[in-house]
Amino acid sequence: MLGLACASAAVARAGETGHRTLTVYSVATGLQYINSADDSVRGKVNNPLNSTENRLAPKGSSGKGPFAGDIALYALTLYDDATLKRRAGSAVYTCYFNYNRHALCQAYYKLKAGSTLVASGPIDFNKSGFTIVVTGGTTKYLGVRGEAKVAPAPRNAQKIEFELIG
Amino acid sequence: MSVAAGIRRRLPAALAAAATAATLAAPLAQARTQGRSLVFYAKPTRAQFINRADDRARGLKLNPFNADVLPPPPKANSGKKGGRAGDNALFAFKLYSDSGLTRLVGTAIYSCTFNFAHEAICEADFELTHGTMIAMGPAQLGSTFSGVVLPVTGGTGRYEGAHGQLTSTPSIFKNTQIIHIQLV
Amino acid sequence: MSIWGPFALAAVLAALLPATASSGATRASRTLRVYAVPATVQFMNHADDRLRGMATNPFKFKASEAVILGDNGKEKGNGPFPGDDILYSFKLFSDAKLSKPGGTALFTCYYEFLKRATCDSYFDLAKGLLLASGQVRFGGSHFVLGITGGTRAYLGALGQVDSVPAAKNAQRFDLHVTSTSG
Repeated sequence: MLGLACASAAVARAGETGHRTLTVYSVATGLQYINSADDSVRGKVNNPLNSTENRLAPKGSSGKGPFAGDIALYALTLYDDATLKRRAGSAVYTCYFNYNRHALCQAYYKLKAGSTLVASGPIDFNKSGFTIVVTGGTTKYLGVRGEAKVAPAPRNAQKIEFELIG
Repeated sequence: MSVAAGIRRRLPAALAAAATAATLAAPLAQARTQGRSLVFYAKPTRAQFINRADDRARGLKLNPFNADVLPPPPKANSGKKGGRAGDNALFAFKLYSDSGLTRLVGTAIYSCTFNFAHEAICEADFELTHGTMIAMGPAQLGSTFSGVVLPVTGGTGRYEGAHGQLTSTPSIFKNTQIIHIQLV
Repeated sequence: MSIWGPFALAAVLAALLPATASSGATRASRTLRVYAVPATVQFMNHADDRLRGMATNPFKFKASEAVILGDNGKEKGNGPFPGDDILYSFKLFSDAKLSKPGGTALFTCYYEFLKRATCDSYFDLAKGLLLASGQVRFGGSHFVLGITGGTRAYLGALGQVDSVPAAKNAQRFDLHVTSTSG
């Protein structure tokens, strides 16, 4: 009976393959902003959309932006801990802006020993923290999925907590 | 028969049923892709480069993120010839299952957006006979598409739930890439 | 001491639990159906970037294949052309009558060749986010995307999204989530 009960507990956990966490700290080292204003204006006039879709175009683009179609590219250095003394790797975020200062960002994190994590997800640039989806990895992180929670940290850094499955 | 005795008799069967159900409940799609290895020979068919020099220049002046505080990385837009931040490179391929390129099995498209130091983030879409697969990750792109390692992040049809990694390396034969996909 | 011990209750409960249990347990497969109505659509026309890319590119591409200009100096034919992108935002509803709000979705579609795009999307639902990506043909009303992950209740999600047209100018999305781990 005890054996069967233990087997049941093991079965109940079936599917949870290797849950692990990883914490790094990032500091942005560069930003390139791609201002697509001309492409947006051209797109309002010259596009293959039907009339229904054209009626749904955003009304005007007042303010500083970012505006739909713009891109922000961030280069980051990664560190092992909050002292920012030991390098853990590097990262790049490519953020494609849509509406209301939201962007769909694609990120890759190049870590030690040649392993890479990739993540995607929406980021609200009105807020200081965000959570994006880990969609894969290579080498040590082959086949992982999960989440990356990013929050402000001291010294102009950001704390990235990866929750990884697989 | 007492209630307790009835439970005692049914319990092992219920536990066995639960174990079997949990095993069988592993999605069929995952069973099809788990632990698989695929090899394709990719022949390039089209390529295009989208040069966003004007958008880059405009972005230096009209930027909502205060460029004075966080400028572009040093030498981001100078140095040797190559894709610059924000540029796009598109590569289309036919996929074959043999190195002789006689058995066509699908197509692939790589859409790469450059960031810094001639590196790009590439999204690869594979359209295969029984479904699609998606991969995304960094690639170092010099003057040619020389080879990448990208995480496989998903798929549809027979490849629904696919995850793993793909390695693409140039072949000296017929200007092809050899794509090895390892699914976990 | 009873032969059941403290494990008995857990064992009985495990036997009685359905295969697809409530949130927090490992699920096998489930389908979420939502109806999407477009809220905003923006088209980004990169004609100048394409033209510039013919002359100035690091890959020695054949310029003659890249951009075809008509007599008026504009690109021949109708787009979308490679490099163009379309951004769609949607309001989601959980019913076909579009009366019960169910979240929002955002699609960013980057066009490649032959009017096909790689679309990256996210569905912002009550229980978390779901991400999906895949190829979509411009003007096509039926397409399938691969689910690449999710957050919260959809942490570790995999599966696929099937999209078909629905009534009232809506699009129906069947989100087949085949694996999550809570």
